Formats: sequence, C-alpha cells, structure tokens
Amino acid sequence: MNTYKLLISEATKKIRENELSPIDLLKSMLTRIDKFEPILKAWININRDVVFKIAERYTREAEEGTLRGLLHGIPIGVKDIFYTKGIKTTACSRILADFTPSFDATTVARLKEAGAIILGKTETTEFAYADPPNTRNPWNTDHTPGGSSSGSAVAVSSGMCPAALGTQTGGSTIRPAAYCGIVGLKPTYGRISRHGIIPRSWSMDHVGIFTRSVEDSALLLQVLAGHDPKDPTSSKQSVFEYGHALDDTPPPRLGLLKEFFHYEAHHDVRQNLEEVTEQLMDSGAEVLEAHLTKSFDAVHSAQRLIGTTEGAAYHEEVFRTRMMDYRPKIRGLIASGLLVPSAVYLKAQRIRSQFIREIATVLNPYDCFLMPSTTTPAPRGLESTGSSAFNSPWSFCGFPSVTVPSGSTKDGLPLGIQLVGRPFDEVGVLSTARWCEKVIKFDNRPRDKIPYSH
Amino acid sequence: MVRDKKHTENPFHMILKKAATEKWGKSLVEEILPALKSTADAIWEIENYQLTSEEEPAFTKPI
Repeated sequence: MNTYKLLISEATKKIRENELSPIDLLKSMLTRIDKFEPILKAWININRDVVFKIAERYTREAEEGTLRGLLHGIPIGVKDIFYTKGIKTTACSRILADFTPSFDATTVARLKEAGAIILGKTETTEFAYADPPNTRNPWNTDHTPGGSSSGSAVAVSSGMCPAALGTQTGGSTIRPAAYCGIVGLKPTYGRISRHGIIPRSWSMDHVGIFTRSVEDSALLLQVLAGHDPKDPTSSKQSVFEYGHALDDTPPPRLGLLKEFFHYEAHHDVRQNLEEVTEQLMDSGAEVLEAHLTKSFDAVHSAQRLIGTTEGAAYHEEVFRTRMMDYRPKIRGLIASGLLVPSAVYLKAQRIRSQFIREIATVLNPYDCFLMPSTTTPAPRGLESTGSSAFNSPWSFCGFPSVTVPSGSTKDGLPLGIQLVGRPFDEVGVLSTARWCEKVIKFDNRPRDKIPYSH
Repeated sequence: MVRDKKHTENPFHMILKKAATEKWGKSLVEEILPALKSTADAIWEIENYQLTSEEEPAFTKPI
C-alpha cells in the first residue's frame, strides 16, 4: 500500500516496529502535496526545510527505540488561525498578513510533545467567517470542500496528511469533513484548550479534529484533551482512555432526529440516511425517533446572533481603522454585529440555557442522536462553503458531535451521518461512531488520481 | 422558525439600516445590506421568542 494512504493507527504501529521511518512518511506526504496542491490549494505554507530536519531527527530516535509519544513522526496540518511559534499565522486575512506568533497554541504544543510534526498551515475562510478560500474538494474539484476549516478537510481527504486541526463555531468541522468523506470530531465545549487560537466567537468556539477513521480521532483527542490553565473556559473534567474505549462496543441506542433534519435535507441526503438507518438496525442498533422541543425554533437565530456579536466585539478595535482590509462578507458581519442591542444578545444566551436543558432531557434515553451531517452534498462552486444548519445547534449547546462517512451520491460526492452525545461523553460518541463506521464500511482511502469521483 | 408575516413587518430592518448609516456611512450600508438583513431577522426572531418565567439568567459559559 502507498504510504500516504496509511491511517495514523497503521503508521504509528509501523514506526514503532521500525517498518516505516518518519522521514519516509513525510516524503510520501510531500510528494502527494507536490502533485495535488496546485489543484486543491489546501495549504497556506509548508516549512519544508524545518519539517525535513525534524523528521530526520525523529527517524534516528525511532531507530534507537526512543519514541516521543503517541504521534511520533506523524505529519499534521493546522488551520491558519492556530498560533504557531515562528511560523506566520494569517487567518487568511490582510489584517494579519505579517503576523508571526512568539508561542504555540496549547493544542500545537501538545501535538509537538506527542511527537507530531507540524507539517504546515491550512487554508481557512478569512478569520473563520464566510469568505471562502480557493480550496477545492478532492472528490470533485468543481465543488466546495466546505468551510471554514477548508484546507484541513482537504489535506486529510486527499492524503496530504493523516490528520489536521480545525475549529467549529457553527459547522466548520463537521460540514467540511462530511463534504470531503472523512471523520470530523467536535468535542464538548471546553474539552480542548483554545489558548492561542484566534477567536471567532468566545462562547461557541471549539477545536475540531479531522482524520480518516474514528480510531485516529480518538488518538488525537487523547493527546489534546484536558485542562489548560491558560484557557479559563477549558474544563477540569477527567480525560479518559479514548482509544481503548472503542473496543467491543455493543450496538447503540440512537435517537433519530427527523423533524427539522428530515425536512431541510436534500433528497440524496434523506435517502442515504434512510438506507444507513436500516443498515444500522439490521446490525443490531435500536433506532427510535426523538423529538425536538420548543426552544429549537429559536436556536439558529440565537446561534447566529451570538456568533455575529461576539465576533464583532473581537474585531471592533481593528475594524475602526482597517475596515476595508477585511473581505466583503466578514466586513458586513462585523459592521452589523456591532449594532446588536445588548439585551437581545443576553436573551439569545438565555434561549441557549433553555435549549441545553431541554435537549439534554431529550437525549437522556439514548447513546447519541442520529441525523445527517449536512443539508446537502458539497455544493457546486466555490462562492459559498454550504449550510451549517445541521451543525450549529450542537456548537450552540456545546455537546460533542462527530461525522462518519456514510456513502455517496450517484455523482460520487460523499455524505455523512452526524452523531451527537452528552457533554464530556466523548467515549460514548466515539464508541458509537466506531460501531457505525464498522457497519457502514465506507471506503475513504485517498485515491491515486484526483478528482476521485470521475 | 420566523413566519413570513413577521419578516415583512420586522422593524429591525429599518432600525438597523438607520443605525448603520449613522455609524458606517451610506456607501458601506449598501454593500452590507444582506448581513444587516440577516442580523435584523435574528434579532426579530429572538425578540418574539417567549421565554418561560423560570428561565435562568444568561451565562456565557454554555456547559
């Protein structure tokens, strides 16, 4: 098998057993990048000389039997809103065109401590808002890969790296992961530190993990989860052995959310969910319809308003003097967000409290909620990154969610199912996702030629 | 979801447009009309949402 197709779980085993060296793994990724980056445009920068030297050092260490951690020698991409010491962090914006942080985000530091090699910075919509980059979907390059973590999703899907970090405030992890046929994990709000990540909306920003398997997601979560004194919103809840929890999972009990998620879904998405639900039930899952409550009616407006207001507050000072350096969509959102009455912002937060309480009760009898990951397959064109309507409720309430590839349209565009679990029950969410992944068996290994669907 | 009738009667379209014109000037307002409309719609829907009396105050940490 080509090295670039390896999952992290496979590559780390080979590195441990000296069947694969970090330098050969890196070379395989760089070859892949050289071949497809001109088409896909997933990266802002790759610091080749530096990563090459690191990979050579880690190769020597592996040969001597010294492994730094769970991710020794694994190349990982990082969305360009994470601070990286000595490497430009631009948020794909003219505002930060020359900004080089003097420290690493806690997440980047934890990856490095575990032996990962930070391969480079990936493309994002400007400041993780709505103005898309030129990044293209490897399954069909005429289609968006989604956003805002566009480059991270594409880099993983196309075999340029086996994992990448992104963020999610609305749907910026689950949606691009689903559009690109890979696994996306948005853990509980506060599970992973956000110190050193440029904010989009303080009370809704989450770190997201992109991989090609649930097991790899669990591995990265193991490295990243845990309290960080530098992030006051990060939780002190215990960190579990996420990888070990995946073994021998019994068939799950799933609450199928139809209502909004059924009516708003494109025909292909609905049909795929119906087929997959049947497949899961045939394999032993119990799937029962769960019902949304009153507060769901206001969830999308409240989420949008909080995001717009908090984002505008973050940018206010710079916006006063450099308004025209922002791209049009973000400019409009900041300008309008600065006009939101404070009482309305607070009422949106109260709606959020009500929704959290109500939806936790609805979720109680189930292991997870089940619904489609996206309203449609990846839309054609690069003007929009698609709708986050199926993801933003879970960013709003902060519950953990994951997308698992579940099939494709007749045109070959991938689709996903979204599972949502209880706060800090990443073990439950990942176990359920792993069980579903094994039943569905969607082949998302990177292909030799791009686009995949032709 | 917001009903169509409410959309047509939403006073925040005008309120926000007026406030934006004062704050940002007429030329920018024309460019940002879609964002202003979207924000006005969100405000109007939240304004019209009936919280139950026992609803807790707002905390910005969600969980």
